[in-house]
Amino acid sequence: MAKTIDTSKPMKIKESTGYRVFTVCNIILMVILCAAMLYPFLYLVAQSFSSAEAIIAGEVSILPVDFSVETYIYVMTNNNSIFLRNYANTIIYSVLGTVLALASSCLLAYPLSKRELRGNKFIGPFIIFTMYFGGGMIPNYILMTTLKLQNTVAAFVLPGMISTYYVILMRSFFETVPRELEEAGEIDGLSMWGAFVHVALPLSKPILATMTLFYLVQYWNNWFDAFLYLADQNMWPVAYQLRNLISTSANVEDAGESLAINANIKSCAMVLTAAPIICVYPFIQKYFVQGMMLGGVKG
Amino acid sequence: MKKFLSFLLALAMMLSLAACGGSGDGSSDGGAANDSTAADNLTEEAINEASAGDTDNGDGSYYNEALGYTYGTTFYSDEPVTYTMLFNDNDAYPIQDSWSEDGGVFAEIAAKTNVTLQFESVNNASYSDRVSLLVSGGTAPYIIPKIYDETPYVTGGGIVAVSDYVQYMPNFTSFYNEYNMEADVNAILQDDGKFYRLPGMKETSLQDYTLLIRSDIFEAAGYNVAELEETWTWDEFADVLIGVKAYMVEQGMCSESDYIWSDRWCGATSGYGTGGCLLGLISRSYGIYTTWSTTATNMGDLYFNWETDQFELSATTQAYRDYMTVVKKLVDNKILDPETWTQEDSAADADFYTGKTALILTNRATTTSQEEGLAAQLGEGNFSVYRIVMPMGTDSEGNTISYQSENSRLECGVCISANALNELGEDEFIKMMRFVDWLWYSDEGLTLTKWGVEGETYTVDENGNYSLLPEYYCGGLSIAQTSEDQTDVRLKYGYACGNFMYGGTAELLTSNFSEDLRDFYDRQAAYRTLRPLDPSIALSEMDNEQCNLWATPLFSEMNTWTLRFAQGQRDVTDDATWNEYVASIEAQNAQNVVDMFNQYYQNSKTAAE
Repeated sequence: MAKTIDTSKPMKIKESTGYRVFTVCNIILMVILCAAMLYPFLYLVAQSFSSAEAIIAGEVSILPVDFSVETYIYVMTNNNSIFLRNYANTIIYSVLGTVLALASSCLLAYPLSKRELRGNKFIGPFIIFTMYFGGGMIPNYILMTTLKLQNTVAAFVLPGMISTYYVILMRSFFETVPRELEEAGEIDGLSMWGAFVHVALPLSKPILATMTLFYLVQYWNNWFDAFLYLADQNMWPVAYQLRNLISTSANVEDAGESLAINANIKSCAMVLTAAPIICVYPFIQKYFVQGMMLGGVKG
Repeated sequence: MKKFLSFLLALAMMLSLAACGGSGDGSSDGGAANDSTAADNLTEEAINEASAGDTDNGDGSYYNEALGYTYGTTFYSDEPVTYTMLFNDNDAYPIQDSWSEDGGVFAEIAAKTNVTLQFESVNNASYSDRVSLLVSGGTAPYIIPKIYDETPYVTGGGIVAVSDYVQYMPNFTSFYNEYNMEADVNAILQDDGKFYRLPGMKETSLQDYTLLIRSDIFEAAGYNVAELEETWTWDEFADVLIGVKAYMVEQGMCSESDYIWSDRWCGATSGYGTGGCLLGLISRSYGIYTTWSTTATNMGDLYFNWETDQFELSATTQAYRDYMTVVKKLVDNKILDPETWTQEDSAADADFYTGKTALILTNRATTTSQEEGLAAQLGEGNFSVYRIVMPMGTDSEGNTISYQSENSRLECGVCISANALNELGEDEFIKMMRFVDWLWYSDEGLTLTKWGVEGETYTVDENGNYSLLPEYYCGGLSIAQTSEDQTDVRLKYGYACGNFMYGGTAELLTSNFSEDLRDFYDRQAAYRTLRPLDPSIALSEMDNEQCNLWATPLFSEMNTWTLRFAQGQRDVTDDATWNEYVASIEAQNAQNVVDMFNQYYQNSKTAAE
């Protein structure tokens, strides 16, 4: 008698006991890891909504005590709302810087990915050279001051506009774009520029998304260029404001005069500074992994 | 062709080397050709010569007709002038627009002197880094206040040898001479015999740091601190703390496993991995230097032994072992929390405010906020605090050493950028120096920047007592707010901020002290003595570099061992451990550093003879 197979139910492979144990252990381990990573941030958020007295008394863990949004109001309105102004600066610098950095990096990386480019063998090492040897902080500072770029948006945006490492990643990615597709476009009447814009770039979304994230994070977190080139507090990015808020004087003798800033104010500033960039991550993550893998295949 | 190219390359290299060589005299006086030392310029002849030809107004001020300004006890420029200045912006009292408006410190300075200060404001957290950047980049403003260590800027030529111009500064020179500041100022001489920082000078050394104890607990535990502090040693103090802890355990205030002392300025926030303020204070009462001192001066852990007439390394002395033994006793008896050396300052504050601990370090600027912290957690009237006179150390024979921990009469100071001399020219530069002299060294200038304008922000009674008008209080002067409608004179007008208040007479320095603080200094003066200043040593540029190369691993090794001892990880009383420690210190070129300083000391003695 022939066996009948019930096709109404999906086929299921029976999991072995070992595999189940492995899965459970895996999940437990991942939960522990997630908790360990999330706890500091949750603690910060809880502190930012709690009173200074409750924090000093050690009553705050991951839930706020004496819940209040006063700290947020204070941080945003204190000292003529300087925090908000710095926040707006950060957004402007990050968006402008990322757009310019992406454009200039693409324009540099794409030609370098073409083997037929004359002088490619000279220009490539010349660019890589800058990864290992820089002018140094003081010469860069003197250059920027001589160019009268101090206290300008350009002082913050220009120095980080082209990262050699990112350009190499992009060049490697562009090298994977099939030459045949560009040639097909050229046969259909595209110029080299057209092939770049209409063929290569649309195929390079993963690396563009990855680079967007990289440059965005770079500009968002950058406080050192502000320290070097932006003396006017109204032009600072929020990261520099935060850095000053949580650091104390580097002078031993001066340490006694440093202000003990309430923990809730520090926490609030940290949450406000980190939140936007954390929100951007999940949306770009899928491109991020793909872009890194593809860009890193060829070196 | 190849030979020709090689020749060209060699020539280019030779020329490059020659161009890099410079004059080689190490001069960094911004162009003022002057070979005189600081001492030469502080003689009466030099001072008289500097003011020759100026009209004496008879009130301690002079008028220079050719250049159009009055200087001395007062300063006024006939024509308005502007000087650039760096400003250390402290988060505790951020700079406000109102400081430049009517009644504000900058407006009042301008009104009195016709000088406008055009300042670049730099946050306190970045200040020293910013100064380095601006001086190295050649873009520093003329006046650079609040400098603790100018040595890194000297060789680059970015700052002026101010000792070349002190003969033009009547307030500086009269204070220097009246209060015999020579030995103190000699401590900041560079190897060319000049100094590059105008230091804050104080008539007397006022120890800033001490311990603040919960006197209500100590009294309840049966200890009369006011009586004990006169003669107590660190060992006896440790016994008192053991008794206090026993009382706290008995009362259920803490358990046997809890510590009753957890301190600030020692750990992650401001201890800089050295053990920080507390170990520095204890070691100084034993006559040696460690921890914070290692980061403060190039002398590091060297101290001068007056009996042997030479410099010695603190870290390998019996005094070091004795003081670490006391620290061990405190840690072993669960008095002093070993986390003190690693934690954030805020953790120590939290323990003290919530009553978990019974003592903490304090200084004049923080006592008020510490009392407020206690009041917020424990409630007003539920506690009392008392500044104690620090316990004494003992020598190898068991005799007490009654030195107070701090003995310097110098404060941070003002450097002058070489740009000022280059851009203003010598005559105008001297005029600026006379303005600086008025602002930082004259009674009028110091009183203005400390208290504000008489009748508008403060008054002085017939006994010479200063007090703020009722509508003001001042965090910077430790004058607490007593009613809601009062305004902080520092926050609103910028008086009593750290960019100007550096030194002065004892009367001016203590003019804002509360009864409680005056009482502390009276006790301090009665029970303790000032340690004589060590001879000053100014290493040459090359030797300074060499010393730094030796000192960096040496201090790192010392700090590592010190923290091991202080945390109870290694036992300083164990002979084998001690010998291992001494061997590891000596292996780090310790003797070379000591020999270098002693060689300089012997040379200076020979030169003096």
